[in-house]
Amino acid sequence: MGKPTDKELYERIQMKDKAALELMYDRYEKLLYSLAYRITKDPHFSEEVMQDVFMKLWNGKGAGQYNEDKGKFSSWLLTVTRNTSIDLLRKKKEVEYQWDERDSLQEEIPSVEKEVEDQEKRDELTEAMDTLPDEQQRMIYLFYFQGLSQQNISKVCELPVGTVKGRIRLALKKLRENLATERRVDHGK
Amino acid sequence: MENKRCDYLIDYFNGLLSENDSRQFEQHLQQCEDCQKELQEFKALTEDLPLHMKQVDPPEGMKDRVLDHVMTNDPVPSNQFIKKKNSKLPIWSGVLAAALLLSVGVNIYTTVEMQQLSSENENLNAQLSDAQLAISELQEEQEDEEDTGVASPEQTASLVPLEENGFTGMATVTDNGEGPELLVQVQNMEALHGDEVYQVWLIEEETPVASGSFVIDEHGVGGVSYHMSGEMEQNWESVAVSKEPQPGNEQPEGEILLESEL
Repeated sequence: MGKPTDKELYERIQMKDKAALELMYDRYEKLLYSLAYRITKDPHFSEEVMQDVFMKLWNGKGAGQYNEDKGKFSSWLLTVTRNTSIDLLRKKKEVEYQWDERDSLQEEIPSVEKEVEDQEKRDELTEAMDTLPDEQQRMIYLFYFQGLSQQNISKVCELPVGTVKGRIRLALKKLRENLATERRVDHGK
Repeated sequence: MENKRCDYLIDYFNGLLSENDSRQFEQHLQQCEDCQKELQEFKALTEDLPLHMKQVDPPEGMKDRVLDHVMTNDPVPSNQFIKKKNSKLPIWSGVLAAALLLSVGVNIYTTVEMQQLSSENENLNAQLSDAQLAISELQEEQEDEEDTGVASPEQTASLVPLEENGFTGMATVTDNGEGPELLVQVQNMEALHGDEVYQVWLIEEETPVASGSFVIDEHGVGGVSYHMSGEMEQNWESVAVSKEPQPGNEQPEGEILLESEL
């Protein structure tokens, strides 16, 4: 028999099998929560993300609909979690913006030092980010962790809109290289 | 013009496009190989980033709260999702509790307890009372049998519709010391006409055995209990519900509507 695969569990969940949902939850709780927490930086928001994500899984429609065209299940589930997280972040910010719309973009500019300090525990990703030039760190932060629009990234970083996509891609590629190097160094130790 | 569409890639990736723009971009995507490649690249570059993050511990009790949230907000609630308030038991115990309570429906205390439990959700409450009423009625017919033992569920299974028809149901095998009993309850079923009945089948190696039939009330709720005496040794694989043109069929004429493995 062995452990059911993610796909098997997903299919059982679509048949409204609660035990399967629980198994799926146990399998992914920590990983998904960590991602949501990294993005929202708030335990309550992160829990809200978890509720949303598992609701989507249970309903299996729209954003919660998985098929093999969407790639590996775990990658897909992480994408759903990221999207749900940045969506929630955006909604919470919209509420804040009603108070002070003009300054909103200013607040988006992360201080790289602060970002690093905020990470009580450093991890591979932080280390790899750390070795990137500030501008590249900022591109990744605004694009991946904040989910800002191309237009907003261009404003915040004072870059022409047309160059944003290329810069993000470059920063992401560099990040991947750093991650790969780190792995090698670690294994060498 | 084509170029302009390619500029939407970042906002599409971040889910920022309106539904309409998103659909238009997807149409564009089918024709634009550059965008396909680029989107694939962005996915590949980002998809394993979370795996390099330090994992943090979720707050205590989150699992129960999250799963509870999913069950209580399910757009198609079924009476399996009852949970005792402040219960330390995992949410799934609600399934057993509901099944157990239903299975001792003969006991008059059950009514009180059922209503207490189900007061958490008024919708469920209404549906449950209906289901319970149907079962009580059926059991009144068999009152001469005087059940005094407490039944406990040996097996429970959700009956799953074979196509998107909204029907839901549950099958429970209980035993109160007088031999196994199969309990089937359903809801959201479509109305019956003429002599039509819903028929329960126990299936072993694709051979169905008629195991009780029932009709439903005006809310589409119904159920039946069936003594499995002498047949329990058999290794039933699944239980199914079909709609039959008349009661008493030995073989199904209608198609299977709900099914569950046992």
